[in-house]
Amino acid sequence: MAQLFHRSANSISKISIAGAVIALGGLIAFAYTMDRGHYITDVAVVKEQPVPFSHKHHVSDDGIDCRYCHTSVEVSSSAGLPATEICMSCHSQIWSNAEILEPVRSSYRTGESLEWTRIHDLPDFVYFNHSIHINKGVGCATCHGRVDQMPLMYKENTLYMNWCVNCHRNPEKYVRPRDQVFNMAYEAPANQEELGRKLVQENHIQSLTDCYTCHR
Amino acid sequence: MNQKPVLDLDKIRARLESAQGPQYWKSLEELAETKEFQAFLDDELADRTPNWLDADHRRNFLKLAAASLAFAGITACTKQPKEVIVPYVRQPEEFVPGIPLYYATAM
Repeated sequence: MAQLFHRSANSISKISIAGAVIALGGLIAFAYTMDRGHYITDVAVVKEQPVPFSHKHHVSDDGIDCRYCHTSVEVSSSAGLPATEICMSCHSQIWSNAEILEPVRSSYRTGESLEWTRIHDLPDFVYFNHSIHINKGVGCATCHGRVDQMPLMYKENTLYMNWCVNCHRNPEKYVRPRDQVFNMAYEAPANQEELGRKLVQENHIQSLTDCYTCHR
Repeated sequence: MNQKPVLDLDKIRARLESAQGPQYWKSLEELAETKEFQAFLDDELADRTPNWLDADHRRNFLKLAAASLAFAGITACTKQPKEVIVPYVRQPEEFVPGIPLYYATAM
């Protein structure tokens, strides 16, 4: 009986099997990279704002506390963005003619709000409260990164659920003394594990990992 | 089909005489194969199942249903749309963003 397949069928079948496996792996790797990459997560991506506001300048150079502008961070779910009035409390005196600040002045004149582009945008199905984190000893920089070194605002972390849960499962690895929360330059001491466990106990920090903690 | 079509009975008789083997029919209209009867058959339940008898259409429907199911997950493959924050120009006193403000409307 004549051969049904040409000899090359041996190689072709092997190559196709190997190729299929590699292609599948490649597809998974591609999807994963896209999912974690800058394009989808917006990590380290600067977005256009009405005024090129520099946290670096205001925090590092001027030494303004976070709470001067983000007034409600200690008491509310929302940290609060400064009203134009807060900007003008300084900028009616200094840089009062700077062209770059014209949108701020125009907002103050016309009563029309500035429209900032949100950088840290949680999905609407997630409940998040700033005040509880601040009051339990999660530093600003723990989530937002070294904002005092960001000339233009960008996102330091993905804000993905696995990132949140990472700390919710092991808060002792990330919490700091409550008087250090607003300290941008705070660095975890060598005995963080030990200190963390102590703080967890002292501040009654619960490891909340129920779904409904955030998905209410 | 509201009106009974006029049946040419002589013609039917002539046809049946020359016919061979069993000839089944349920009504004289069917036997006569009038246009009205054909239209009635095609149109049955027309208002309730449009195009249901059209095989092409049914297949398209199944294709669309299958595709919607298969692509349902793709809706997750999107970037978050741009969102703007619109703070106050002059923030009212006693109001904290994120906390509902309760007050009595009647004194």
